[in-house]
Amino acid sequence: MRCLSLESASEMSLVGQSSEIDVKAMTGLSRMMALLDTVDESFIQCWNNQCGRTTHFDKTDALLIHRRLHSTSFSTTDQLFPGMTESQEIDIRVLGHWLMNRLWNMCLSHGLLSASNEEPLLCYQYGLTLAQEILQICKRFSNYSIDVHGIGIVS
Amino acid sequence: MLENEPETGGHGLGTVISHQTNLEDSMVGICSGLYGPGMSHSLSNLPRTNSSPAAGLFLTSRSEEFWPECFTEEMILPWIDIFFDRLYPTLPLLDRTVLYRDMICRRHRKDRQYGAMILSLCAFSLIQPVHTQERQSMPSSDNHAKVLLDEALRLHSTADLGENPVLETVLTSFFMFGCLFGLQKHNAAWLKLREAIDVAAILCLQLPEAYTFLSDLERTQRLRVFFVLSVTERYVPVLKPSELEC
Repeated sequence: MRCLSLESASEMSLVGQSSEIDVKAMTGLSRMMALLDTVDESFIQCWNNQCGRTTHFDKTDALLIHRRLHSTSFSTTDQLFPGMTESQEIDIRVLGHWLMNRLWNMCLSHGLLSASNEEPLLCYQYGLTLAQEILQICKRFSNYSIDVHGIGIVS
Repeated sequence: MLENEPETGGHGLGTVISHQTNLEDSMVGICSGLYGPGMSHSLSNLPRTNSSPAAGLFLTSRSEEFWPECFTEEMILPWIDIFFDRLYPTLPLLDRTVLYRDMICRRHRKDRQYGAMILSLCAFSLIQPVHTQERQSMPSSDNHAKVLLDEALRLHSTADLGENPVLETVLTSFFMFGCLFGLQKHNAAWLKLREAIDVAAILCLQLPEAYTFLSDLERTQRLRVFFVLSVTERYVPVLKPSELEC
């Protein structure tokens, strides 16, 4: 259970407006928090492959999370966020795509995918699409910016 | 935060800061004086006394006995630089100017919890950022980090940990989490993250009203910690699912 709720975090951002807080850094953190909050806690067992794949997670749930991720994330063609460092931006972009990838894998493990579906998330080839997108993203940034995130970024 | 005025003097005026471009202008002159040429990061060369060339700014006293003498300032400051140069953009936990000011004032040698925070920050810095050309030195960095972690834990852990916590207590637990996570000790890391979050809750970091009467500096510092913990609390359960009990 999360102790530090998003509601509290939203209120905290108001607290910070009167101080000399580092807006750039906080903007990046807020983006990451919004992305991570798309993962519904009620599906964390499914997300972590601990549910026995017999459960409640269905196409409706998957598409809901996907929509949330899409509305919080952004496409590979977007311009750089003004004022955000390369390091921050790649952190956020990779996290967004990593979450998409995990969601697609969760659909795969729960038998929700098919060869053709009007929803890209529910198609087998969507995993390849995500891989191509993340490759495009990485090509846009310097190796230095990618390296600072450590080996974890490629795992 | 200032406990006394910075001492002057010292040697080692060579400017060997490798990533100085981001240093606040006001601190460049001070910090460049802390580094001696030929500085070594090797533990095999650790001095056992505080008589290093750059020690003039950091004279010891009896109140500093808890600080591990094997870690001199000229060793740890470059590791702190790594944190600010590489990790700060995504983990804006500390203000660089304030931290260096406190270091100059030897707070790490007077304040046990602050000392633990500095050591754990160094351990975290050594583990987390890995550039391609640095991969070969990873085993050595890991060993350094483990020694730093042990020393930080010695200063951090008391029987009544959490009874009267300060923000440095939270930060120490968080940096330990980061270091342990990087060392692939995920259960231990998760425990430290829970510790950081619980201590933060004791400090009421999640309550807006708790910020009302704080100075701008203190409010900003607490907000930084709160935001980073909030993100990390969400990040870790989805990051390493197989190892973590969520």
